[in-house]
Amino acid sequence: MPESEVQRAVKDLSPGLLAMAAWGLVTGLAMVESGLSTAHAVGMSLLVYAGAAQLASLPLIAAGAPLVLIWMSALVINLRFAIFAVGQQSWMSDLPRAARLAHGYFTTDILAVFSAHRAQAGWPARALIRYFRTGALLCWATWQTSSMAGIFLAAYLPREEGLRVLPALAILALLMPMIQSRPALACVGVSAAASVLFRGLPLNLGLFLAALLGVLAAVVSRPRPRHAEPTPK
Amino acid sequence: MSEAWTWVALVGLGLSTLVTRSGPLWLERPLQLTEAQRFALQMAPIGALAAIVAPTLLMTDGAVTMSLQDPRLWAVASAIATRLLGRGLLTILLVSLLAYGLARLILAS
Repeated sequence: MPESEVQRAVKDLSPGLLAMAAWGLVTGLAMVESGLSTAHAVGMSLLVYAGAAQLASLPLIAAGAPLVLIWMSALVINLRFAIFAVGQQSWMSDLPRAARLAHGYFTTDILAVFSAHRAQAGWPARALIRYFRTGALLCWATWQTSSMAGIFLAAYLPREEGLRVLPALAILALLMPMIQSRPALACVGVSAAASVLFRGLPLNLGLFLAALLGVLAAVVSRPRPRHAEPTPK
Repeated sequence: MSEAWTWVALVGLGLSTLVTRSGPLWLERPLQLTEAQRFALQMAPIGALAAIVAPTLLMTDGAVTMSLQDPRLWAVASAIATRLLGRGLLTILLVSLLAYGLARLILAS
């Protein structure tokens, strides 16, 4: 009997799910350590369901930053998902609009990478959708379970001054492996320097200016390919 | 920050997830992105994360601190070293947390 899409999804995603569980635990801990109440932390995990954006908004929420700033920075951090969604358009096109939107919401980094891989291998749309649904369920369950574990575990940890740095170090650890090319390194260097330089600007506008300058530095310094190729995450 | 303010912030963050993950799927015909646009979108999260974390880890009261007495510097340095050794994000986190804790212990004594 040929392997079903469901079995394939379980096989593909299992190693990634292990890392995701560890990361969910860290994010759960970080939410509480940054000062969110248990209810807010649980709510954040269920509503936002985006680890990097969650971690990044924690210091902003703790500082009582303007709402627009908190939302905009999450949008920028989530922009990578818009690229994934553009790739999903072709094989989700048979679904009605509401179903497409619902499917899109459950896209995670690893699921996007693996379904794009299967789509490139020429799988038919129906198989891809079954594959995607299985993966989406696995990712969601793994992330939520581990996040909740982290949130409730945090209640048993001492309120230690040293742990307050956890959210920042978690962002740093998330950022490091993303630096896989010279343009990405330029982006980080320019953005970090500019954010320090523009720290005093009102409404934390320095954050956007810095991110923008970093992206510009990366775009200017990128090697021009003859034809665009998809970069693996 | 009040209870209600935080909920408003969280609901907005949830919408940002929906808009970015599902926004392009709203359209009936596929979007075409140029190579430069695609590249900029890939770099945006990297730029934003760096901009968010750099002041937190490198500044104290609005001024850059580059003191060996600062445990954060040890955490950042060890994170970079671990990355250069080709390790993944969980190892980087553990090593930098450990470096931070050790530096605090040693510098406090």
